Amino acid sequence: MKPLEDDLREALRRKEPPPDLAERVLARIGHISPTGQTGQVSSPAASRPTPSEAVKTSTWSRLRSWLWRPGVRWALATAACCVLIAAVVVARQRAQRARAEAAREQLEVALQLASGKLNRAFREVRRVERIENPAPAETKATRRTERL
Amino acid sequence: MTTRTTTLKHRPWFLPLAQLALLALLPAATARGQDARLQIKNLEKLADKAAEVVEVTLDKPMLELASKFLKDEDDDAEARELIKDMKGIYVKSFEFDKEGEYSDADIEPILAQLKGPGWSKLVDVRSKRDRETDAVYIMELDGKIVGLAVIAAEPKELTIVNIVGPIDLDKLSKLEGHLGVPHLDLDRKPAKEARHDSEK
Repeated sequence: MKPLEDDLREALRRKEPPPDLAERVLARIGHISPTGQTGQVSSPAASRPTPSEAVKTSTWSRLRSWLWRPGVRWALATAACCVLIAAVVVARQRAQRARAEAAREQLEVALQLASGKLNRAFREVRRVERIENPAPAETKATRRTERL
Repeated sequence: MTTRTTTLKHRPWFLPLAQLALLALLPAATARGQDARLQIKNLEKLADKAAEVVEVTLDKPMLELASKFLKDEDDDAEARELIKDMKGIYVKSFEFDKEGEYSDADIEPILAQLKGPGWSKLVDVRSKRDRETDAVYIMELDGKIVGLAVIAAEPKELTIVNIVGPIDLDKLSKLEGHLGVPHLDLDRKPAKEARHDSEK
């Protein structure tokens, strides 16, 4: 037999893994089984995550740990406060605008009514005076209204 | 006499101070009495009977708020100028479906206030035929109008207008039919009725 063949056979010969290999591997990726204290490892099919799950879990845990950093927490809280304040300011501005528009409408109605009724009273006075006194004799009322 | 002497002897020490305070407050109370604001809350009961109610309550802050939304042109500018110094505008107008829904007793408390100090009657037109009353009262201070009250009573309509603060009647009368609100056609009397049917 050639020496090369012997070397190959020796190299490719089946070897039993060390007894704690599985436990060490799982411990390294953080998935040690609850029964790990007794040295028993849960069945690999049940506890071992698939590669895609492992990536997701890893991303989420990284994100979570990033979010819980004090600086990020403060920044997020400040941003939330700013958004809240802005929302309150906008709501108040809208409410004030609505109030102002309502007040403007009321003002228009009030001035119209006041003006209309005032003019009507003055017209009545003038009409009665014209009928009673065809000559341009001024009464106290007309003198006063003209003065005002 | 003894009693009187005893009373004086035990006169509380703060009584002169209280009297002074009362004297100090008297001018303020008088000035308050000169306020052109009318109490027209007694008319609120008519709202139930009325087919249409117009109620306007604009105090100084509301007038300022409203003036911010008046434009800088034409009628709005005139209105802004008019309300610039006003302290309040209060209007109550009721329109009824039938006659007799309100009585003189409803107006009497308002007329009683207008008989008070400061107010003077500018116009009072009463038509027996049409059963209409148009009255205009003003409150003057140093030759300037600082208050206006208009009472327009018709068989199916009652309107009270109360303006508090300096007001230019000429400018106010010119606003009729402007401000984006159509002419209210308040002078609805047909021409044929414009005869001598009124008496002051």
